[in-house]
Amino acid sequence: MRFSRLPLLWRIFAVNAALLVLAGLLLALARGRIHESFAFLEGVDIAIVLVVMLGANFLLLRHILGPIERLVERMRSVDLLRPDQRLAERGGAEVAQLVAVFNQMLERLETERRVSGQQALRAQESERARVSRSLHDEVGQVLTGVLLQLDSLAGSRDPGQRRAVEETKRAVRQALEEVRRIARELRPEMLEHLGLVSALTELSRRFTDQSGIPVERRFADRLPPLSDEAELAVYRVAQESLTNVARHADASRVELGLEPGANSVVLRVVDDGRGIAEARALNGNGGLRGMRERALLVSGALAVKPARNGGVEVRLEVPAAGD
Amino acid sequence: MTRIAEEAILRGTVVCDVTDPEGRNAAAFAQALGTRLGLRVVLALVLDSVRSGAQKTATSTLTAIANELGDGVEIRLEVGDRVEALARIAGEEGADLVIVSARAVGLGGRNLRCGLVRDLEAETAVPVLVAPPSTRRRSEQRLAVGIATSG
Repeated sequence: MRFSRLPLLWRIFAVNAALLVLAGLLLALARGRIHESFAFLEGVDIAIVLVVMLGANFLLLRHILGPIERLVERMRSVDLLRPDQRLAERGGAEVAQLVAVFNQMLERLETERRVSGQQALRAQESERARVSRSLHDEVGQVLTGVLLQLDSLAGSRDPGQRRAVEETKRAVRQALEEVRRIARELRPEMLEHLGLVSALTELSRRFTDQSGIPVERRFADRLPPLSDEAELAVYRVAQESLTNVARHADASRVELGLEPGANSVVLRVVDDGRGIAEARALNGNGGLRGMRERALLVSGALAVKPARNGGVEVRLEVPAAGD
Repeated sequence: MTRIAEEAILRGTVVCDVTDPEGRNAAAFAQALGTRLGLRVVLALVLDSVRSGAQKTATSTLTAIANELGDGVEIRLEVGDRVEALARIAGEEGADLVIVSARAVGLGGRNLRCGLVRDLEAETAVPVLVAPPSTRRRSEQRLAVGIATSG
C-alpha cells in the first residue's frame, strides 16, 4: 500500500516512529554513556524509552484523530431517511469541532428534506386524486355511455352481431371495472369518508379477492385520533406491504392489525411467507424506501423485520394527532 | 384520565442490547422494567460481520433469552456496527429507552461501557440506560425484586 493512501493516523505515527527510532540510534551511537560498563543495558534503556514514547504517541494520536475515521465512515453511509444519526463530539478540539459542524449540517439537511418531502408527497397525493377523479368522472362516464349504446344494439336480429355486441359489452364492463379499481387505488375515498379502520378493512377484502390470501384483521376497538397525513401514511404503508406480500412473499395468510401505542397508533402487517432476505432481494429498495419516507414525514417509526413465524413483519407507529 | 390515555402511557417500547454475555442480565432488567411499566421489550443482538454459523448461533441465543423472559418479548438480529445498529433498531421500533449492560468486573464490581454509551447517546435521540451487572449486590426493593423473581 502506498504511504499516501494510509490513514492520517498511521502516516503521522509512521513519521513520528521513524524520527524517534533515528533519535534512539543517534543516542546509542553517541559518545556519552549512561551505564559506563554495560553497553547492552544502555541499549535496553533506549529501547524501553522508545517503546514507551511510541506507545504514548500512538494513543495520543488515536485519541485526537480516531474520530476522523468514524466521521468519514458516517459521511459515506449517512441516510437521511434515518434521522437523528449523530456522532459523539470527541477527539482533538479541531476534530470535535469538525464533528459538531457535521452534526449541524445533518440537522439542516434533515429539516430541509422533511419539508421538501412533505411538499412532494402532498403534490403526489393531489395529482393522484386529480387522475383518480378524471378516470372516474370522465373515462368511467364514457365507458358507461358505450355500454348503454351497446345495450341498444343488442336487440339486433343477426345472432352473429348479437354475440359480437355481448362480447364487446363484456370487454367494456371489464375495462370499466379496471378503471374504477385504479381510481380507488389512486385515491382511497373510503379513508376520507369512513376513516382508517373501514379503509383498511376494504383494502384487505380487495387484497383477498385479488390474491386469494386470507387476511386476519385485528383492529383495536378504540384508537387515538390521527391527523389526515398520518392516516394516509398508515393506509399507504399497509397498501404497499400487502402488495409486497402478494408479489413476493408466497404467503398463505396475513395478519393486519391496528393497536394503540404510546400516544400513537401502531400498524402491523405480518405474513408467513418466505422471509425478509428474499423479500428485500425481490423488492429492491423502492417499496421499502417509499414506506420509510412516508413514515419519516409523519414522524413515525417503521420497522421491516423478520416475523417470529419466519415471514416478514412491517410495524409502523405514528404519533396521535396533536401529540 | 380516559381509558385510551391510560393505555397509551402503558405501551412504550424499550430496546435492550444483548450482544454481550452480560446482556442476559440487562434483558432480565428490561423485562422487569417492561412488566412494571407495561413496556414492549425488544431484544437486540448485533453481529459485527456475517460469518457462517454465527448468525444461526446468534438467533438461537436471542430466541433462548426471549423464551426465558416469556411471551411478548420481541427480537432483532442485525449485522454491522454495534452503535449504528442499536440506534437504527431504536429508531425503527420507536423506542423510548435503550438499555445496555454494564461490564461485570470481579465480585460485585462493574465498569460502565463508556465508549458504547457515549456513542449511542450521540447516535440516537433515545435515552440510554446502563443496567447493573449480575455480580453487583442487589437491592431488596423495587425492580431488583422483579429481576430476581423473573430470573
